[in-house]
Amino acid sequence: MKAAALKLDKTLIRREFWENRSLWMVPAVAAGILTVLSVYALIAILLHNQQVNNVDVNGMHFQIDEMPDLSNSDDADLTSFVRFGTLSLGALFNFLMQIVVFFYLLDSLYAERRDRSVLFWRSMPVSDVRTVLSKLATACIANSAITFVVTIAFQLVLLVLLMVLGASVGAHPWLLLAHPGAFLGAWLLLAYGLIVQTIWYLPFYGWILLASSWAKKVPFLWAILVPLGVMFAELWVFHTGKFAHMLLAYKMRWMGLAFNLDPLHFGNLKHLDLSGSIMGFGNIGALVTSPSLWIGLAVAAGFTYGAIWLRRKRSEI
Amino acid sequence: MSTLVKARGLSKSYGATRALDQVDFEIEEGRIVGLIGPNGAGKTTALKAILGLTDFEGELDVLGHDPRQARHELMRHVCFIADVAVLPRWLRVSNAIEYVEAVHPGFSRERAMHFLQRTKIKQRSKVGELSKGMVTQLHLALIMAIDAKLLVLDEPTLGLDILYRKEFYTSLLNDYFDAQRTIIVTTHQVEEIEKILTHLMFIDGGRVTLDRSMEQVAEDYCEVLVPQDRADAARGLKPLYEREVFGKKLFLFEGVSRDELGKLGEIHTPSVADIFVAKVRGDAK
Repeated sequence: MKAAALKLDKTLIRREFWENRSLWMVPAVAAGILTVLSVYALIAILLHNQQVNNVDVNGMHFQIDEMPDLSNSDDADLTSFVRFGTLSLGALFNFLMQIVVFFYLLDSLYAERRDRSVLFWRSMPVSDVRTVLSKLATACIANSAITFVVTIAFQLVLLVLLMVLGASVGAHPWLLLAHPGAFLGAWLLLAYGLIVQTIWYLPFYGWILLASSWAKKVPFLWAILVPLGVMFAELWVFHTGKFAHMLLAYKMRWMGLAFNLDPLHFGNLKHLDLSGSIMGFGNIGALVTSPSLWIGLAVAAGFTYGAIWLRRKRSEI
Repeated sequence: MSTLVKARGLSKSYGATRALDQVDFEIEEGRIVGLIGPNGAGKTTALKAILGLTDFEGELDVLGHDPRQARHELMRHVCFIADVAVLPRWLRVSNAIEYVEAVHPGFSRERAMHFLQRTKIKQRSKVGELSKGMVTQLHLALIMAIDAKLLVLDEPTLGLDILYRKEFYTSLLNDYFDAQRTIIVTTHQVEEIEKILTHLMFIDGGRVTLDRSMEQVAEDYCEVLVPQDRADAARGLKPLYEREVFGKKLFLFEGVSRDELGKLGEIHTPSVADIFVAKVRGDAK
């Protein structure tokens, strides 16, 4: 019975990926384009100048001795370098996936009503609860697992390119490989950050699901205009921006709790000690006991329940 | 023989329109019920209520469940094809089979393949690449491969060409139907299904106006072709409906003995479509 239920859930999630190929195509294509650009840059550097430090390629300026000299670096520097690189790449793909997931969720309960395929899906013995949760789970997988895999794949590509470049200028980038622990640690950190962010974003996901199951047309407008309307109403009536500030503060707060840094003051980021415990896992306790987390989860549950209720009620637009 | 569907005082309104008005009916196991009615008569509303796709007032029991509460439990034993093409365009044929196989315990891949082999549908195709008729064929193949107690077909052959329509009903009868199964079917092409029906149900203006077995229908309804000079005698027997055919009058009677009618003229068994028109027009009078 349990195996059958697991198989069912797996199929429901696979179904989402059949329908929404953009969930993996967009990051894959983005990584592909970045790879091509990087290879192009590398070839250009190698062809144009092997000896000179300052290189101009099609307006792009490279200064090769800015590359960290790893031969003299200690473990802490190296860890910090690898972590910073991994998390920067992760942030890039994470930004992309947030957009992809937003549009995925917007369509998830709307498209099936628009093309009336909801009548086919609902003719199968799959509950509305399960269906809606499978869509939420897909969003979570996309935001965490896909971002993680694409980030690491692209990082490995960059690493190979870095080796080639390093070898040609006499640096020793392969020393990086002598410290696999630095990479594993950085990847663990990336995974941790993505999982925390995904859980933290559940209320947003729930809201978009609700808009998707509610809208008779253009769910985008519902998802965006309702919160904007609240913001403007508040501004108009009370001349304050508390709601907007609350949303923004909530959206950013996970970083502060997970990594013990204040993302609203990015200026501080430069002075962060990336090697130390600040970027470690020491804050799970503070995270789990944070009221914001639990309030957010309660709100997410409410929105998701609404989306399930609506799917049960209306099978037509 | 058990009762699969039981409706008592089933009602449903859309604003001021009463789509179903205090309807009672029962559907027993092993029947093929033709649900016939003009557009907007309440057919689709009745089917939707049975399938748990709409709210309603009154009592409705389908296989021991209230369809509003337990739709997905019900769908283990109830299959349906809605009157509008509903397979999504992005779905690949192979994925559709894989999906139904995984979520439906009563689905048989072999049976689905058996039905699909008769068509030109390729496994690799997406629904969006198939013709309208092929999409219906695919949907029917998926649904008929499910071992269900109740099959609900709302205009199943809409958009199919005549060859495939014939084939479909034959295969429904030969490959699918047996004493443990029950089928409810609606269609505008009544003449296509009247040979396979065991029961007939008319819905008009939100009410059930006829609900009996086909044998009963054949017994109760009779058409007589009467020469003009005997038309008044025929009218005396209170016909349901009359019309002119080749200079003679054709009367349709309900519940008048054949012996009596035989004296008036030539007796025919009316088609379901004729009875339907007579009932709708007759009731309107």
